[in-house]
Amino acid sequence: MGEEARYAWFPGCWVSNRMPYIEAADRRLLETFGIELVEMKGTSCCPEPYAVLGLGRDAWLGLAGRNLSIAEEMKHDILTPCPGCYNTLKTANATLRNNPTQRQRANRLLSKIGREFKEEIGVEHTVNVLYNKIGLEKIAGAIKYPLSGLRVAVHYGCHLLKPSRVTGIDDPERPMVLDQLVEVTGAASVPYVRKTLCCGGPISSVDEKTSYAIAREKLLKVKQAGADCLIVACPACMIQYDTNQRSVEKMFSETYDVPVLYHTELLSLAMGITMDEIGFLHQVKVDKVLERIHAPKA
Amino acid sequence: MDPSLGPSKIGVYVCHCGLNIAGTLDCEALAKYASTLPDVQVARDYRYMCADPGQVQIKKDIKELGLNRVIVAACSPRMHEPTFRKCVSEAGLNPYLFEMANIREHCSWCHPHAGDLASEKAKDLIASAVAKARLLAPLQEIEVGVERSALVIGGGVSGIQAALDLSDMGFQVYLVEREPSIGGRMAQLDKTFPTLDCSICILGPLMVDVSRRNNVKLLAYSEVDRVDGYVGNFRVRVIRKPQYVDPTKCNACGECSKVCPVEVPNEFEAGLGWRKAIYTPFPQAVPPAYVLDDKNCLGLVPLACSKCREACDKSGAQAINYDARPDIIEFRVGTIIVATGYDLLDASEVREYGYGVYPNVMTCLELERMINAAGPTGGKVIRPSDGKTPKRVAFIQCVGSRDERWRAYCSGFCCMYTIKNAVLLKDHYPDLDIHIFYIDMRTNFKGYEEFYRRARELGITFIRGKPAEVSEDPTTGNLVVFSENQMTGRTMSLEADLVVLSQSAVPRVGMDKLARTLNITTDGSGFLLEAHPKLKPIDTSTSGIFISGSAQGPKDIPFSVAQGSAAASRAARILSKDKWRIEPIVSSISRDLCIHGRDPKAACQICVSRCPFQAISAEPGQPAIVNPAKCQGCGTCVAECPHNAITQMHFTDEQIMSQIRELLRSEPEKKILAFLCNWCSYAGADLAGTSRFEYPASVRTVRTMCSGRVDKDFVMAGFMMGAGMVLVSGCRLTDMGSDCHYISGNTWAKKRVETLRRVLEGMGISGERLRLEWISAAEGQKFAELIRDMDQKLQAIGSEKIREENARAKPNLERMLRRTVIPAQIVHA
Amino acid sequence: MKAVDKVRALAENENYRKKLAVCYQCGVCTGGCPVAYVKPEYNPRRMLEAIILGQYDEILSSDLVWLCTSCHSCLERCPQRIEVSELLIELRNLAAESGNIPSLLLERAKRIAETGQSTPISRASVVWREKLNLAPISPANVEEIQRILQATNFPGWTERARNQTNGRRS
Repeated sequence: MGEEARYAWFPGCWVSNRMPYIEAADRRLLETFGIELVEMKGTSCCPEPYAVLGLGRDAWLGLAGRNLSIAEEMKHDILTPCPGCYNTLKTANATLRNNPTQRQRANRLLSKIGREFKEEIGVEHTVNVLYNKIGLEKIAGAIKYPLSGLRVAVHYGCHLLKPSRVTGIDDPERPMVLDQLVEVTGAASVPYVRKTLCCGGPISSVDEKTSYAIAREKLLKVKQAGADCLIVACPACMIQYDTNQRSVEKMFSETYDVPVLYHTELLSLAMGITMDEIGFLHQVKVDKVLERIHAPKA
Repeated sequence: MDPSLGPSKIGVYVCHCGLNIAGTLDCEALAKYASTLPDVQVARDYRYMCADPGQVQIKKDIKELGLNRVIVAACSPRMHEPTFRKCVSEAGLNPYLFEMANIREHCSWCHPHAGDLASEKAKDLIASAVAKARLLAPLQEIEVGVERSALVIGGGVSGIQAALDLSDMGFQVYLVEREPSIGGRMAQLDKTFPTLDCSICILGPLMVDVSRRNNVKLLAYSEVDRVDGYVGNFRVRVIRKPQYVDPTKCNACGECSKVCPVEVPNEFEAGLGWRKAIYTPFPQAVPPAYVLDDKNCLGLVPLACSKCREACDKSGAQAINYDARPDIIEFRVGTIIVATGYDLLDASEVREYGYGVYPNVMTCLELERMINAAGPTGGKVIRPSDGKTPKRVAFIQCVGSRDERWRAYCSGFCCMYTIKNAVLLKDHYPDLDIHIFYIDMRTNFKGYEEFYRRARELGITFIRGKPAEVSEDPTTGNLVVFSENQMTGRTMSLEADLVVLSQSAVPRVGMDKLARTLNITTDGSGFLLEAHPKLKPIDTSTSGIFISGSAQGPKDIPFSVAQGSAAASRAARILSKDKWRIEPIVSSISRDLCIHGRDPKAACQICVSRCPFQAISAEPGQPAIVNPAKCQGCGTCVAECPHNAITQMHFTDEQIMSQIRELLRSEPEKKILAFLCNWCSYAGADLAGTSRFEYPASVRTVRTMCSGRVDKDFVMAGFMMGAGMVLVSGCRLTDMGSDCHYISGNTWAKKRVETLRRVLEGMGISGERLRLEWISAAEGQKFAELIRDMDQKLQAIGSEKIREENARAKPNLERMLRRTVIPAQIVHA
Repeated sequence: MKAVDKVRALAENENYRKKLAVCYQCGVCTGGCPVAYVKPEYNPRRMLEAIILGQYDEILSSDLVWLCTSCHSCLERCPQRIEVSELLIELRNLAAESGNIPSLLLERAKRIAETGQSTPISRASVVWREKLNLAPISPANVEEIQRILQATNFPGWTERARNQTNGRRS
């Protein structure tokens, strides 16, 4: 892998608090491959775009800059399992680096707490580290129970890939990184119509009906394509498609019954880790998926 | 000053131009002022100098008063210099003893409210013209012989038309075509809009005609390798690729193709069909002889297979010869026409539409070949994935065009050809449901709007909305098109079994290389650059070379044909003369001053390397020498020569210095001395005036042909004479290339100015007082804004500081200038 | 300055105006928008046109600006490189200034101002994390966060948060 693989771990509010099993799964996976994750102390919400960026850019940049400066003190790049945090921190990092006016404003705020943005570190997401740092070959070597026969619909979500000038993980129109991470387990990635459609999650607290209508589009298409399950890489998408699936069904008087798994969850299963150990909670039962997998379910 | 003319006797004529000038400036007063200048015999003002009475007056004064210099203070020289040059020559005065002062575009029109400041500027401009005029010398136009033949590069419909016209006029034509057959894009089309003529049916006879002319030499499967020379006398070197088939023996029976074991995608069929390694591109190919593509053949050295030769020998033709070599063909021509056409953008770059990923997404050209009865599917339109006839087709326009991410321009013909293809499809398949997604419908020529109406009448659906993406339904291979329908204001998803993309037209592969070979420029989009977008759309910056057809920018057939004829006409202007006259504003090297003349071991050759037209040559031990016929008159060599050995006629150092002196005569610290290149920046400044953009009257202009001419001595002299700021402006130079009329003049200007700025800063002159800008002929607004900005900064620095800095730098500047400039020409300010 | 005037100033600012004015209403933004797909009243293209034409009042007072999911498809695909989704964020900022903020978002903003986190740390999550062998969540440095927010015009800056800060100082 080359140079040291140590990162400042930034789980984010949703993952650490609402879905800690994502944090556990990501950590376990990353540490298995030799990535060291160092706890960050005193970080705040990244800050999330809807309640903060939408209300005031200065506040957003200030809080984000503060989180970045904590990582700068630790002299480690940030690694986060949440695409929302990834997008926020990476965008803030790029803005502060490239825009002298914004940087000045942010540093003025940071100086009130004795901090300064020094543009010293970068921001990564689990998917990026798995694909580029660890690499498919190494991951393939760790697969104990190939998931051959499993047909998986892959959902990338939006914040991992766009705006592409900032995120730089993959081509937003024809991404393949996550498909490859799925297929390295032996599963087949199933094409379906409008694969890059947003989950609609961000507006669920503002307009549930519209939000669910958007989620519905994806669920219908995934079902149509005959996939065994849907894979996501984002806690917000997970909540939208899994936690809220029954509500969506109810709202539109339809049945989708699409099991939703997290990408690191799938990888963990293929690597022989049991569902119990992984500890994921699913609203939509994943029994049918587990039956297709020959890994121990315990 | 030319001593043979005796003392200067100058006539100054101030034009009112109706109220264009007189509305702002007091022309009578200006004439009165002019009469006070030394050597001015007569100064008059008149309402319209360019009109007959005005010209008659000038001629009268020349004859009666013995005038040997004439100044007209009026509009821009880019407007009427030729007019007045003709006028004075009719009175027996050498036309190069005439000079203009631009007091309209550069004064009355842009300083309408500047009052006294505008007057002062007008006076300075007149004084500057008078000062230069005193030093003008009579020049004779250079005459060169003309070879009565032309080279046409590109055998598409535009090139064919040019060749036919030139042939009709009696000139020898060499028609060079890269592909095995002429015909170009038009040969690939099925029907043409708006008449639905069969394309090859109307093109075929022209192809045959041009190949049968006695005075047309058709060189197919060939490329232009090298071009030397100048207008009237180009030396061309063409390489004809080995075809391995003797065209005099081949009867196009096709037996060779039948047995060839190699199959490759057929370029003519837009990759939809296959061809063999030995092939003819299409049935009506001209020349008809087959061609062996040695890149795809299994191997000739050593010989891997000889099936084609065996078949050919058996058939009796015995035309195949594996020992063929590239042929070098050299000839001389008087003019060159470039008509090399266009390519299409690789649609897979526009990833949201899935071309190259989804089998049932195809391009317009692929559809064109499918519809064509002689095409790979025999005229049947089928879905590539399963061969079925589609039930619904969606066309998407502007794929990569009008798009900052790929090509900012509109490709011009796609709206029409999509409508045409839709109409054809409807005709072949009446039940086919057709939707065309567009942003705007551009149907701007004869019969085009009517054709659009007809398409709508046929039931073709037009949806205004650029699709966001095309996604495939994996179970059926159908495509889903997601778009807004602006008619309803709602989004829609349309399921179609076939999607056709209209992708951007782009410059041909190899355009850059060809442009360099010919010493012509490409524009910002990579197409060949015309000399003037409005008035000279066929000429290039290089005399004797013309462009036509889509090589100049994407266009449809009638436009391409018209330009082909236009190019033939422009070429014939030259070819029909025994001698062609070249403007004598060329450079000339002093045998005494050139280092190569003084020191046989010198290794300078700077002028040779600077000239983009290879007009200068230096034999070892001999002074460098300029070929006046090849010299285009940029003056870059003049400014670059470290030994001051080169002069440019009509733009000598002395003449320009005298202009600088007059322009900075009073309150120089408040002035911006601007050197503007004739083709771009000066024209841009003219445009600012024409558009009536107001800007401060503190700027004083000196016109040079090219920014490359601006010697560092001029800039230093400017500061030494007390200038507040100096501006050097030329044609656009960006990372993507140069618009310089003389190709690289601006590049040298940039290097020179940037170095000079550092030197001046070392002497105490703030770097911001020397500006280097690129203003194109279209950027009038930008010029006005630039002067406003510079004037503001000038005032912010303040006259005191400027005088201080100038005083500090003066001793150094004087010392440096004394080395290079004739001392008598400098007047200490 | 009123938010409406700010939008006007924004739209008339030379650089901004140039960036927006090049919109030729192709509709790619609306065509790919997940929200527009299910809710016809939401139309980014029309919103952009309204800004260009100076009709901001309606936009700032409606709920529509809060419906963008920031999927950025519009930004990626605009042929004139207009950053439509970024513009929507600016509009949100301006709407927020005039008090147009969805209540749930305001709640969340307040929570961030008071605790530094967007979701409350529940008892369940503490137990959960233990079970999964995860270290407890490191508490946010609320003091630092509040000092930053105090210096900005953050609408989520609450009375309570102010009191917390004041309490600290004394």
